[in-house]
Amino acid sequence: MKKEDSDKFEIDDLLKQTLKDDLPPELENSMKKQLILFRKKMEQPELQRREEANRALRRLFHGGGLKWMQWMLKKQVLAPASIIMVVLGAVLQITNPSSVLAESISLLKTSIIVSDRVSHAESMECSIEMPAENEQYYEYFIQWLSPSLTRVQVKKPNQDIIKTMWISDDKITIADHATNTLRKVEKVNQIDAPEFHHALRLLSPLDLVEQMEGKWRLKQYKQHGDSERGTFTVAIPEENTILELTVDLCTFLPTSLKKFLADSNEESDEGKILMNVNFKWNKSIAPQLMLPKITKGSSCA
Amino acid sequence: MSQMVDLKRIWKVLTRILIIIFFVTAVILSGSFFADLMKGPSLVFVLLGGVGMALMGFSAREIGAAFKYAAWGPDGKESLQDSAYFWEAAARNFLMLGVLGAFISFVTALGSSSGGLANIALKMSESFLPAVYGMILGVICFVPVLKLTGELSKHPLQEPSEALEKPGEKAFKILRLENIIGYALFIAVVGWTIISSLSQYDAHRPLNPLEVFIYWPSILVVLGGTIVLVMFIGDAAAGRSFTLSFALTGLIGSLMAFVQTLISFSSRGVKDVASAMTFIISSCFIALLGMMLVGIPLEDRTIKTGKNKKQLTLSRIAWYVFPLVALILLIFAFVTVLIPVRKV
Repeated sequence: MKKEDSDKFEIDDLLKQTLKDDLPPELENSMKKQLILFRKKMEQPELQRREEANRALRRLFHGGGLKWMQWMLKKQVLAPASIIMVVLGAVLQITNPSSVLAESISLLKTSIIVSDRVSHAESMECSIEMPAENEQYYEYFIQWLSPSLTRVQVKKPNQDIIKTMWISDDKITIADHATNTLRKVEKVNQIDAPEFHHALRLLSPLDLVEQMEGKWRLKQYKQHGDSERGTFTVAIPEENTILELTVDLCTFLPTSLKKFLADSNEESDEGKILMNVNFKWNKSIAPQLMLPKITKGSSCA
Repeated sequence: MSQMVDLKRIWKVLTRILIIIFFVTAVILSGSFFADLMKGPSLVFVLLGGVGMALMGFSAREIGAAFKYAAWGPDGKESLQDSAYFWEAAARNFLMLGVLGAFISFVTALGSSSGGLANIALKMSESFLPAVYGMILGVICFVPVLKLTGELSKHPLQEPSEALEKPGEKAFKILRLENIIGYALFIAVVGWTIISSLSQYDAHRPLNPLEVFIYWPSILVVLGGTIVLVMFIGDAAAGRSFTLSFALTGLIGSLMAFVQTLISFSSRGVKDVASAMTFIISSCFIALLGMMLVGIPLEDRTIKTGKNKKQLTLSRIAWYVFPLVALILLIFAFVTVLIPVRKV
């Protein structure tokens, strides 16, 4: 054996004696795991890349700027905060907070109930005033008992009734009280008397429902505090008008309807009301009123 | 021999394409019946959202492999299991997106003012179309799952020795570029749908989308409840706890509001019914969005192949049951709004 070799063995022995393999087993296991992990990383560059990115992320989170986030993510803070959130949410829900979605649902639901109640009405009386139409200023009084029994009276303000129209099963009779004449037409669209023009849209509850379902664009619904009244605001884009329909929330039947120009302020600009309608529902109407007859100077009874 | 096999595969694919073309032609020629069921924007929402969600949870390589195996058949058992999971995830994503789309359309229809009540009712009925699209696309995606799991059952895989990933490894799952693109696409699709749909909400009043879709009581309950549950369940980075927590809090919140709706029906006014229904819609919406945006992508990136397979059972219940319950509650809301009953 050469001298050089014998020196190497001596050094090896010395090292083995000095650095004895007497580590505690858990430390030895941990070292082995780290060694395996290191080997894995060397073999899989993808894993190494990810580990580096992880470290970068951790460094980012440990940075001073994000310390508040760390503090917020602590369980001691997060747990009570989340419980407070749940309780606050439940309390808010009990107090019925206003929300656009809830308003939409409320508006739609109420209008559907109103539409249903109106279509099932047993009788309807409505008076129509049209203050804005200076020359053609008429007032109407419509009494609807059934689809086959309707009476419409037209008058000018502070004057007697000028015309009355009766609609029954198979005929429409128009009485002109000024000339004491009776005239018959077959269909509503054959009525050429301009006095009846505005009344033709409200001849029956179904006409009202038809407009609600087909033409009116629901805009807003307001309930007047604790009172039993609610008001719909509806737009009719074709006519550039806005309607205000007030509803009795006990019966869900309309009590009044006001029509404005779309660009007028309905609360302050009373002069621009185009139409004012007052309704009475399910009142008994004397059947003899539905019999066509000429009575000169009759009043709205 | 291999040439023969390739030719056979090409014929198989061509036959499938022909069947699809035949089906689509039949649908187009059938006239008004299917025309009523066609709504382009809803279909685009479900399709693009599905693409976004796939990218959020999977790498481009995994997606490519899944398509390849579904079309041409598998060439390795490990990747076969990956592909089966991808297709199951795609089916689940479409199903959930359909339900989410139905919620967005429903809320939009509720606020739509054009055309009167009849038109609003029609729009509300049409709002369920995204759910139909989601279900159809989900079923289409489920076909490869059945095919691939059939293959797997013939040649079962050995359970991996390391069944669970170490918590440290999954604590920080690094996002790939395609994952980030997926998140951006999903947020863009949902955001665009919400903003564009609200343009028809009310022509006279410009609305902030947050005003309609954010209802603070339900947000506080769902998010607060989710955080509490995630802290109890733990292992948030795996996504599973987020999925379960969102589903559970959404379910509890909406069921509580469901009871509140019934009580309001019998003893209170329309305003209370509307408030309770808003809570149902909003809590289902927030919980679905939370599951899709936070829980599921994390879960998809963590749970792959056979790992954590046993833990998937609970997640699957959350994936499929919660959207179904949400859809049933939406149908309940539809019926409640449209039936003219104020007090029982």
